[in-house]
Amino acid sequence: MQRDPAATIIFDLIGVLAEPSWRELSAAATIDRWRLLKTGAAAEADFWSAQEAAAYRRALRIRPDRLALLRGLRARGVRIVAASNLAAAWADHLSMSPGGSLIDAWVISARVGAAKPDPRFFAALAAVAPRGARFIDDTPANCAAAAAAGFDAAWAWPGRDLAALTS
Amino acid sequence: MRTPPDYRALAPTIGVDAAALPTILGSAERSWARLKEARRCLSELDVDAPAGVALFALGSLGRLEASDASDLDLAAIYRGDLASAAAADERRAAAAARLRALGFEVADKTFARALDLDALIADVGGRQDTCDHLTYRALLLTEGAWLHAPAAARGILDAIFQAYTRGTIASGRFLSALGNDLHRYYRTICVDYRHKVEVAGKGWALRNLKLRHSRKTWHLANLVLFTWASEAEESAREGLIAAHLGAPPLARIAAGLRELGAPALAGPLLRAYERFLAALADPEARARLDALDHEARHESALYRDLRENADRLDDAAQAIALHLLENHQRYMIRFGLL
Repeated sequence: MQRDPAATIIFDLIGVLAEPSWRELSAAATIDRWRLLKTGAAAEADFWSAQEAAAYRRALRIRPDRLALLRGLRARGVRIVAASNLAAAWADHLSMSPGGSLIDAWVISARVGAAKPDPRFFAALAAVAPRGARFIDDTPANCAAAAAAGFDAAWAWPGRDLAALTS
Repeated sequence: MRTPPDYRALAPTIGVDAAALPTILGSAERSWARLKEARRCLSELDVDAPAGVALFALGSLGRLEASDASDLDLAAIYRGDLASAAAADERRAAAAARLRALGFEVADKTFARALDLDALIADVGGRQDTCDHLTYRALLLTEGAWLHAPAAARGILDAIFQAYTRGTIASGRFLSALGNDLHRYYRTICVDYRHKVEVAGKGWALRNLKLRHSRKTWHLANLVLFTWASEAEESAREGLIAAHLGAPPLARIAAGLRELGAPALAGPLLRAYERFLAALADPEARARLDALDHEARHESALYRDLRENADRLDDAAQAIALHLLENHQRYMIRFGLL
């Protein structure tokens, strides 16, 4: 069945719905290792220490102010899709955290095997969210790639009013 | 700020050898490492209970300019609908104890009491607005680095930013509501300095030199950023300001001047700032400045050196301000001055 694009909203996680980035905590992880982790090509144990992994999980949450936004959208019948460059285990952690159950579908780069702005990520996204749906991300390059893939992309800069983008 | 500015790569773009900025580079690297260490340590405090309480580093650590001699300004902000003031104070005290065990000198002066987010943003410019509220808003937006509960912290920073941008009448084409409040804070601390040294009898030399170096640079960074934004498409201004407002002032100035076609003007300013930071990193120099009697100031070689350095920073800042005035009059005269 064809889904109505207006009935689905796609959110990036880190920088939009959730915080923090691994970059803000880690003493040893590197961008090179991140490229492998986020596409599922490496295990988290090869990315950073068990202590850093534990500290990150203790800090990683959906923002309290976003919970109200998501609840409001769900009440309007909107389907919520998370589309994020993230390790699979971190997405699992968020899905079990407060607010995780408000998200209907999770498109995670480590599971897809490709990260935004790679077109393969957006092909995977299109399998669970209709093209034309609103796509909200804090990285302009990801927004450009999403627009090229047929989504209605909006850049969520820090402090941008998401209520206005989702009304 | 997800990552620290890369001053090593930035230096040649402004006509400076990175080797000439060892303290700026070293302070940024050390501050970033210390911030992350503090975050890992404070992650052991339960982030969900109480919910809605976030802790921030302000001051030199938030600007990535801290040395081993720097205090940590620890601020607690809470959402009144999720947590109480007592719970937020308790959270701050628990965090301060852990941070002290980690070697941080946690200051218990200006930021010792937790503040309700609603109080910060409910009455901007109104009769209930206070100097404390203004200080928190200005510092959180421009140099607030989260230390605990990042998800709550980001929401708090966004709410403060939106207190300026959500207005349908008064946010202004150039986000002048925010620009004016940052101006107001700078003028407030200039007046506050006078009160502290003239009336309250507090140490003057270190305060004077901080005002003439770091606070002036902070103010200039705001002017450069807002001038840069004023030249952007109207629809892009808010995002541009939001994306750069939390970057350290030196990085904001360098990035802005590069976009405004005058990157080399940042070079002399960073050289002068380097001397200032190097002096402040020396605990013995700080102690001498703290104890310096105003009447004896000309006998202090250290003070004379730093006063001359402040003059060099003034010259560099003046060249930047003149460039902005000559090339971006629309913003600088109508909003920066008048």
